[in-house]
Amino acid sequence: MLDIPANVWQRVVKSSLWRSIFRHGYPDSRKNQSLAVFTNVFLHLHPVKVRRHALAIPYTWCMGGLSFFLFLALTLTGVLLMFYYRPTENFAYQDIKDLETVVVFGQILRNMHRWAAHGMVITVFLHMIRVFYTGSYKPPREFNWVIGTLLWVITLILSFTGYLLPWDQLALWAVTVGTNMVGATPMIGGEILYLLRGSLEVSGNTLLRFYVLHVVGLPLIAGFVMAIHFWRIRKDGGISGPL
Amino acid sequence: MIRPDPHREGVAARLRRRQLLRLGVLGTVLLFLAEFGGFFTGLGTLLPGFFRPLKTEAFGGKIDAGINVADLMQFFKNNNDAPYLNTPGRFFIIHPEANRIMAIYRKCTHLGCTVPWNAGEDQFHCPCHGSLYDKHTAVVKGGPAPRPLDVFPITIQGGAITVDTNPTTDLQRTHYDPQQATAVS
Amino acid sequence: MAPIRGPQPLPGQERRLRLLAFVKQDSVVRVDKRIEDTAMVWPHLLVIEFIAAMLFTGGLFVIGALVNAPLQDVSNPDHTPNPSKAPWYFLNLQELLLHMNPALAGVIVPTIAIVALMAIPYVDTSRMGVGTYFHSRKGRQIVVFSIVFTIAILYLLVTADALMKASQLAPITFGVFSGVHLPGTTKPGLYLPFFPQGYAAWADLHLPGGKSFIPDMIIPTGVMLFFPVVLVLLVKRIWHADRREWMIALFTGFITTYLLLTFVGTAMRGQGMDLFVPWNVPPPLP
Repeated sequence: MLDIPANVWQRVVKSSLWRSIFRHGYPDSRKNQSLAVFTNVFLHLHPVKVRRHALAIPYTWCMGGLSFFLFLALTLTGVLLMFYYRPTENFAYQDIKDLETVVVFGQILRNMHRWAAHGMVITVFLHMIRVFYTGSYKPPREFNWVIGTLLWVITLILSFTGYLLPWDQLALWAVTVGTNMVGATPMIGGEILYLLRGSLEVSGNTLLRFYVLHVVGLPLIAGFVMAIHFWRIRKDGGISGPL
Repeated sequence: MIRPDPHREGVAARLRRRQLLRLGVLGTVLLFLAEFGGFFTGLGTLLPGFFRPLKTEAFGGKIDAGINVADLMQFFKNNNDAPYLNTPGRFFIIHPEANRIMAIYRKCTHLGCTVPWNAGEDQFHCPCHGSLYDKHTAVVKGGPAPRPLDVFPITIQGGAITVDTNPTTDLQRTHYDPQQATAVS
Repeated sequence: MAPIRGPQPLPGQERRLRLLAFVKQDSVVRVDKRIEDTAMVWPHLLVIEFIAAMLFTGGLFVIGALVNAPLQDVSNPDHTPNPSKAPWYFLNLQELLLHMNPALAGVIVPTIAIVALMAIPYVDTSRMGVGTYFHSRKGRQIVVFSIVFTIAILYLLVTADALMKASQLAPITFGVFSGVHLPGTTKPGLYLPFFPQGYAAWADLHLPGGKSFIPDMIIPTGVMLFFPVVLVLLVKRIWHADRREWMIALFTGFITTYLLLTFVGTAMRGQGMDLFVPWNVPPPLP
């Protein structure tokens, strides 16, 4: 096996470089376990300790965490897809075709992005159901429920804006039907429809608008709202539990 | 205004200053939001904003039908009054009665799907929610559509047919009336 | 006397105290006092999160390798496929569109639904039952009842509307009513209510929205107000439900409606968005 000799390991751990990065020893004591969470920018979303019932998978189903995980997976695969995709009427469809046929691993990346997007819609919805049935929206968590509902809506819109990008028949007509619903708004429906589409019917302008919203606008908004959501979970006492 | 009034003392003088500041902040924020909103959305077609470019595509303006009156009447005769489709203009020309023609926007009045001509059923049949429109007048024969297909104005000059395809000014109607159709001499 | 330093209170306000922060007991980070009831995040929580993330990464990779994302022909604005459907998570709304006015189904109902969802914690403000599924055994029964109730009602409504749509095109005779001649109609057979030709002509002249006013606005609005109220009253009557419990009934009704309409829209709508049984939906026309 790959055993690092103890003296080499000791020298690495004691080096000034290592100690400048990790400010605590191996997390095998309470103190170091606390520090591992506390001093790490990624882990400090968590408290140092949680109530034991918060660990029960039948209670949380991990759905909130998995929604966030899928968001990260979508960001990663999405950024990779952006290297080969041009959001214009003339190129969009051919670029997707190229992703599937001439880009190495392009097909599997696109598949993962698509299925993760569907998965996120499902996990966010299940998360909402869990939170409701366990009464976790009750004081002091009222406003976090509101934010969570908002995140659900943002997830749906994110997924919907991405639906147009392949620019195939499925995309065009799904978005035509979907945006027409918005156009049915009393009084200002036509104006909203024009703002969304950038033209009178779904066109290349719509593709560009949806692309910008999908890859920059909505992820930024979602990121901000998620930060508030997670922060408030901590401030409201962590995962809900019996009083 | 901002300086405390020498005749008023203590809280009263300070309150007026606070109110002024509060109003100023509120007003600035509202003005900023209005400018921001106006910049992006404008006021519809009256005052276009950032998201409403001034250049429009071919569709939306006046478009030549691509057929002259004589050929069109011959087309109707040969095809048992089946509608004539103009793809870039997104309209059909139909034949409601003898010597009258009508240009209709081929967008379903229910939810905006493209309404195709269904030769087998001899009527327009929207595939999205099943709205049916009449072959000659494009009035609703069934399905959820709230009104007949919209009419684009036609001008005929020396046999050439021009259609004004601006959907924001097209004619919305509840039933067929011969006035809606254009007479061909 | 030493000069006084620092900000001075205004005359007449010497005794005013400054409030730096008001700490509410709920809002501070709660470290539970019962030591035995807590677990260290490292390793106990992080291990669970890590395993969940690994399983999902692996699962996503396997699905991505096995199932290709759909890609149809290049978009063609001149040719609408039959049927045309929105993404599956909006098919519940598209299903509503088949039954009512577009503004109602596409904008008003979803907006009200989202606002109502957001308002839940401000209606049910008690702290009873946090952290236990379904509040109580009673809550569990209410959930089951609400699901059954909602499915039954939705089944009836969707079927009835499909029959009405069919009766618009041709009168329904069921083989026995071909001799029946309803007053004000032109053809023999049963016309379901609100669609005989006599009514349509009358409504076009006299009602603000024409013939679609009652079936597309009044009836759907009535149905959407009536059945939730009935559900709440039933639950109150049978289980003496408190606010949390009838809220569970309403939310369950919403979830069931959402999922069932998604299912109907996805798996039971074929060409022309006509209703079919799930195993007999004709393939879409290209």
